[in-house]
Amino acid sequence: MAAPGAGTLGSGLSEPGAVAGDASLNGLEQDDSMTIAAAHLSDTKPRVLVIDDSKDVHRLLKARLRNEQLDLSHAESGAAGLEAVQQEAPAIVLLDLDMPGMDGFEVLRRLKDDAATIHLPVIVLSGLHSSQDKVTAFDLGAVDYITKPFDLTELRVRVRSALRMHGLLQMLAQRAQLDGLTGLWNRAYFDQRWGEEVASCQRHDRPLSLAFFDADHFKSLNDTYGHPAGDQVLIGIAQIFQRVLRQTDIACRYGGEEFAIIMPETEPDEAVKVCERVRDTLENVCWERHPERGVTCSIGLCGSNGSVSVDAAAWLQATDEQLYKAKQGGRNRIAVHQFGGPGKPKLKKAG
Amino acid sequence: MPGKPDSSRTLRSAYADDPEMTELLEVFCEEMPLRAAALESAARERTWEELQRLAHQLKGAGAGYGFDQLSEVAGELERRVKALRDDECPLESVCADVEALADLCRRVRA
Ligand SMILES: [Mg+2]
Repeated sequence: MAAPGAGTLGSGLSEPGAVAGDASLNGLEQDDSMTIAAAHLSDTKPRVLVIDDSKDVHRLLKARLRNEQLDLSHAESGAAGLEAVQQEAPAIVLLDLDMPGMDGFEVLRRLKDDAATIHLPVIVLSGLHSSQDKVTAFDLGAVDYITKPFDLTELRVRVRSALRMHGLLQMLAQRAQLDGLTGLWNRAYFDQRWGEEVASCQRHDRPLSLAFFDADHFKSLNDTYGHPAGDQVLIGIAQIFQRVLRQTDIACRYGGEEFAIIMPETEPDEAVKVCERVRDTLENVCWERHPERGVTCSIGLCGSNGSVSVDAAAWLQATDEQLYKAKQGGRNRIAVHQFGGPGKPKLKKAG
Repeated sequence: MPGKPDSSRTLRSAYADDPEMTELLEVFCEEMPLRAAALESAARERTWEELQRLAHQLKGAGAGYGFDQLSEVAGELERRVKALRDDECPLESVCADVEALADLCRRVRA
């Protein structure tokens, strides 16, 4: 199947934490593919939304694009099209200009007026003899046009090209949210995502947990074995996250040797088990550059079983306090606090 | 009522030999007599908006299904209905276009 490489990247973001790293932890060589691995997106096909008032055109496009790597969906009026854009978040839109009621120009204008859809690539479908329409459509922000009746080769090539461009832009946007060294989500992404997750858990009264991981004695490790060795440790920790965490966990490099893991839909008790698996795995890694010296981490964890209102910043600070407790308590351990939970914060011993 | 279609006047699709289109063309052509009837009924009832919509859709679809002439005549009808609604076109010429288009619709074959 003719799947343009980047075109298949066009389908939404996947979580770096969900990508199960397969690399041996004994040979933690820096792997260039890692940052790319994080950006590997799910193989669902990109969605192409056709907005046209004619059922015949929908059927025709369906037949003509049957063998392309894409998911076609249909709207039969401008208003229905705008609605479908909201609902389905298509990768590109094929838009008929000439429609009764709200015409294609108006649809285009509205898409470009909305911050959420301003970058959505729109290919206009226009009649053969209407070059002024094409000019107007480009002025309004269309990326390309296809004339009716459709020339087959042209139709396919233009759709593919728009999907490829969309895929590259997606990838760039995602790269800007990834940490270059570890391939995990970066701090900027964390800040945005954490706010969203807190809001969502409170709106729906759902559990949520947050953990901070901090590599123990990292400075001394850097001083003793050099920064490349330190980098290998950070990469190794990221690989453990990618292997041990669950699909839904969101692993971020918070800064330096500190990592933040957002665990949506996860009660603190469950989160502790997940974090404990990471802690245990890390403790048992034999590092190629310094087999004589193991690496451990301290973990601060704060979670809620639901029905609690703590703002994102306070939650963050409380988690940081738990991390501090874990460090004070002797490192290589988890300190946990449950909001609105039973009893006082507890310190969980290692092993 | 039009009689038995005259096979010499049959309109063949430019995509008649395109396997990708076979099924689609069959459906399209099967529906055509219905569309012809809908055009005539809209003209009779003088529901110009409906007539304009029907013409517009045939214009958009015809050539895509390999019937260029269908698109041309439908486009002409759409233009005329629009003009009629703006009092800029006589009723007779619209009726003539409807007749021509309905006739084409009844002659298309996959
Ligand atoms: Mg149209």
